[in-house]
Amino acid sequence: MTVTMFLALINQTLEFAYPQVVIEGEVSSFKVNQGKWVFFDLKDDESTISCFMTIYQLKVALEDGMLVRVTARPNVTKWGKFSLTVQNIELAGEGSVKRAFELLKQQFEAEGLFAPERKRELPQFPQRIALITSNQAAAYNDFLKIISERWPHLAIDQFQVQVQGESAPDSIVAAITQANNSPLAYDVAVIIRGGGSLEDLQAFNREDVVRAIFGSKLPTLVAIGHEDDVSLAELAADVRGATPTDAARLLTPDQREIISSINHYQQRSLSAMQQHFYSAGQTIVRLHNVFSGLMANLKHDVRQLENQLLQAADQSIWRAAETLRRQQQLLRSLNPLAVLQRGYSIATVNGRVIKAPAQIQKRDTVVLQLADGKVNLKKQD
Amino acid sequence: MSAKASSKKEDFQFGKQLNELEKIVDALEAGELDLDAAVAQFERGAALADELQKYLAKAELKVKTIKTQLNSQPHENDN
Repeated sequence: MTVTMFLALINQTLEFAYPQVVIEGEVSSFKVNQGKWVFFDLKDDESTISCFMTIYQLKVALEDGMLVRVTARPNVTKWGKFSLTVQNIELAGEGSVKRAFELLKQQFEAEGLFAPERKRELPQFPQRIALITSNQAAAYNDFLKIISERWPHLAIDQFQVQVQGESAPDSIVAAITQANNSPLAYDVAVIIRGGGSLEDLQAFNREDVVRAIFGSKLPTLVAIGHEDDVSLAELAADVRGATPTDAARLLTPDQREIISSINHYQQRSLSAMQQHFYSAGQTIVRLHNVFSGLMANLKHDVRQLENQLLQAADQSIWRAAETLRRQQQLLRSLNPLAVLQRGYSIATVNGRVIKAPAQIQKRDTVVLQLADGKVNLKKQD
Repeated sequence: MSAKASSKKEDFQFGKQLNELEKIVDALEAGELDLDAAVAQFERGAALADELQKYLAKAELKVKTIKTQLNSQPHENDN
């Protein structure tokens, strides 16, 4: 047979005997050709084997020195080289997992997936949410318990997914996509899972999951594991919950507080209204007092005027009477006949009053008017 | 909780109403309204408080499980 025929035979035999093998080893000489073809060696302390895959199959960040678990098909290339064609590759051991985590984290940071500026706010009073988690997990029940205490007014569509294991990443990405495309407009996409080992939480450090979260049109709230585990998924989310319970608290208000607030508002309104009415009442009392005061003053003034008027009238009359009396007195005192009563007499000649002896002639008759009668007199000389 | 954007869907009243109630109470306490306006605001506030409390009294958490597959059929799963 020819060389080509022999190699074909060997490959057929390999495919029959070992259609799929899972091998664990360390990565070395990792390289990517033309952005598509991935080559690396898988080795242990003694041996090395070549590996090949396409970049599209590579869902984890790889670096020399990382421990991986490879699912592959062994074959011999046409250059007689024994090689593994990798179908699936997983990180093995904490060291590798940590390293891959670091690599991805740096890459995502550089791309701006974790930028705080792009993080959206969650609505204050959510009505409907997509809850992406496994309903077999304790985290699910913890979350629901807190929600039903704080804000049992939520419509929750729980998207059942795997939260660990091989199928987890695809399942989570599918759920995120489904929630985003749903005709029901969810307020928030919530992704939670409880604590676990670094490997258990692996799915949430996967590039596809992180990108799906970043690309979600729905605001995302992600809480994975315990407080100290921060997954890349959480870094890319709009809001991170330290734990699923914490997420429930971040998502919803506490209705007990709100009820208390409303009661308080009602009390304050009532007090304020009482104050308003009291003030209004006070104003009325004040006005009343002012008015009463004015009225009292007015009455007082009127009475005073009355008195003054009366007094003035009295005075005028008295004065007039006085004047009359004086005039009468004067008149009486001016009466010439009153003088006669005092012993005086009035001498007249021919009807004319005389005041001097020279006014009397020899033959004149002087009429002397006395108080009690007249006397005719002649001058004796 | 810091101030958050209100729900973007339909006119969801809760947040708006709570906000309005708070503003009414502040206005009443400020004492700058005349008596008629104050009474009107008080009545509006009482109505708002009523509606809010009615909403809160309707406490029922609805949980529905959805299978995330290509041809998923949501089925009821009350919790």
